[in-house]
Amino acid sequence: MKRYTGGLSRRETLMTWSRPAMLLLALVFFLIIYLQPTPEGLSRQGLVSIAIFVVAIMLWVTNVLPLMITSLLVIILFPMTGVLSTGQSYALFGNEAIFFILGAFILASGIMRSGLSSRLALLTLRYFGKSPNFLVLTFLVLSAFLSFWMSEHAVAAMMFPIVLEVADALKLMPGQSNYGKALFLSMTWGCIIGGIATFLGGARAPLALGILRQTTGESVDFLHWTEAALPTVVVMLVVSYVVILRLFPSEVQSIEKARSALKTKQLKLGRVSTREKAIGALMLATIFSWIAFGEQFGLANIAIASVVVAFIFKLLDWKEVEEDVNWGIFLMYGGAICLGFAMEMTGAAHWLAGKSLGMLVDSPLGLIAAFVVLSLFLTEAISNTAVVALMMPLALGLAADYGIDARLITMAMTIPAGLAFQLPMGTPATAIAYSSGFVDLRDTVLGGFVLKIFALIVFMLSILFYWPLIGFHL
Amino acid sequence: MKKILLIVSFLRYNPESVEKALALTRERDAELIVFFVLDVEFAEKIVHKLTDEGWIGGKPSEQLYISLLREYKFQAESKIGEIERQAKQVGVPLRSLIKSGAILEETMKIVQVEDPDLIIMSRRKRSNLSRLIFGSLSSALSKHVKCEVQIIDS
Repeated sequence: MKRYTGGLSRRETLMTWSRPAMLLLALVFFLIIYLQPTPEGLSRQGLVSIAIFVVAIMLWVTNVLPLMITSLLVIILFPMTGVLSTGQSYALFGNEAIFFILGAFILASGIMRSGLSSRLALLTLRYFGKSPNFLVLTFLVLSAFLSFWMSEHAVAAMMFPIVLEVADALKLMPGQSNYGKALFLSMTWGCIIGGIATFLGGARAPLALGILRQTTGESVDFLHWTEAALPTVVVMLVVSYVVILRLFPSEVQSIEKARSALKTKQLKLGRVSTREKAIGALMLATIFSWIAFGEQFGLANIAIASVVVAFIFKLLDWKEVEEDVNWGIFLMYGGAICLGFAMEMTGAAHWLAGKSLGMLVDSPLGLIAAFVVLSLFLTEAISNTAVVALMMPLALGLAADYGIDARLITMAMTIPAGLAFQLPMGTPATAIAYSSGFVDLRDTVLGGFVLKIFALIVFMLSILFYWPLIGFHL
Repeated sequence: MKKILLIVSFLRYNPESVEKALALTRERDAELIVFFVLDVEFAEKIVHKLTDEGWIGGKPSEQLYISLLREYKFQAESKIGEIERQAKQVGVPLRSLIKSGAILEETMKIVQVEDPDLIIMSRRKRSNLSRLIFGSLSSALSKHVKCEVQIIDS
């Protein structure tokens, strides 16, 4: 027998070499663009911004460095190359969008830690999930609804053990049970669809708004965003339910065992605690304030004020918050906003957009459609936050040329960026479902493709016929 | 007594390989060792992706990882229970082991300890390109062991 010494597999060897190769390639691309003579219509600073933009694309797409480290690199490259001053570059971290999402994440930690989210989930599932198909529908709608108010990824992580409990109680076999697939996909697709409805479901919307405000001074309020996204959310939930039932007809006749498991889990939670009630009330007040006073006081100020109130009444514990929030995401935002700002300020975004998409499409509708399609499909392969960070500068660069409302193109590009139904690398909700073993790639690729086509049609129809009614004209 | 090692993991389970292992064990009057590897690498990758891309914090990621491992163990135990029932029905002596870790490493460790005469494992259906790029457990295993390795395609 040849002795096994734990050597690298072919895949590991490939991965070991691909990382330095990609880093080297990014450096080479940077130098090639940096050393080019400045093209007509572009400033020297604009050319350097494009070189940094290309490095950011390569590193964000390939993930050879964590997303936030690439952001830090972006932040230091701008002052080091003289595009922005050091003060300007670091000051972009103070963007309102970053503090809004910080507040939202901290409040979400309180909802999870108090047990309120689990209680709501279990209560709803027990109340509505009375037959196999109704349980699937309940998982779908509940995951979507929770993702309106909390990060969709946190909802997926919270719902995952509950779906597993149901699957285990029904003795469903991973990879073989259609009902198992239906349950996990309803959770996954519910989170994804619900995540586009408000600013709270994902990091994309606050990031896009941060770039929009930083570069154009314009913004979209909480209610308008939700109004614009809601028809797509409702239609896509119906489509998802039909697709799930069609592709994975249930082999399960009774879900009594699952209901009994859910009941046991619910009983373990005990009576509703004061902390749960208080966090629930605070969250409702915060959402009301975002809708009613968001423009007047600012979304971030309201979020941070709620966090302060939560700490005053000891509803949050800093240690728990530290454990629950992924702080790296704020670095990612800082870099993305800095990139968007520099690209716009130097005219690089406008120039680059004109030389790329601007040469292919010649009408505002064509441009919007191109951004929607690009966003919908790019988001499958790369992090949806990275899609927004990379495409926002280009979208804003072209919007002015085509006379498109910058707010409209921001929403048209950002909302579909959340709809990554197919591949596990697109969104953690899909990755989590995939990790259960119940769902395989074929299921998500096939079903997700059907959803994607419907999403494209529904979203474009919404832009054409519904958005003008709420004040967003093409 | 001859030993037959049946390798099963969360992503590599095929009823045909179980049937084949039981039939060969009876035919060769051997002992069947069922080795279930809890492939934690997979769960680790998912959780690493979640935290690395800044999606959720350390604690929720850790809880998710624990849920995944609990599920893998539950599935492993129920699958081993099923194989044990089948073995009992056909009167085949069987020993079962569950280990968590990287599948190739754990398999090599058990091969060195048990020194089986035959290894049976299932292989997931993948393209030749995928095997070329990412390598294959079955071919890596065949390279490192002296005994016969039978691969059952899923």
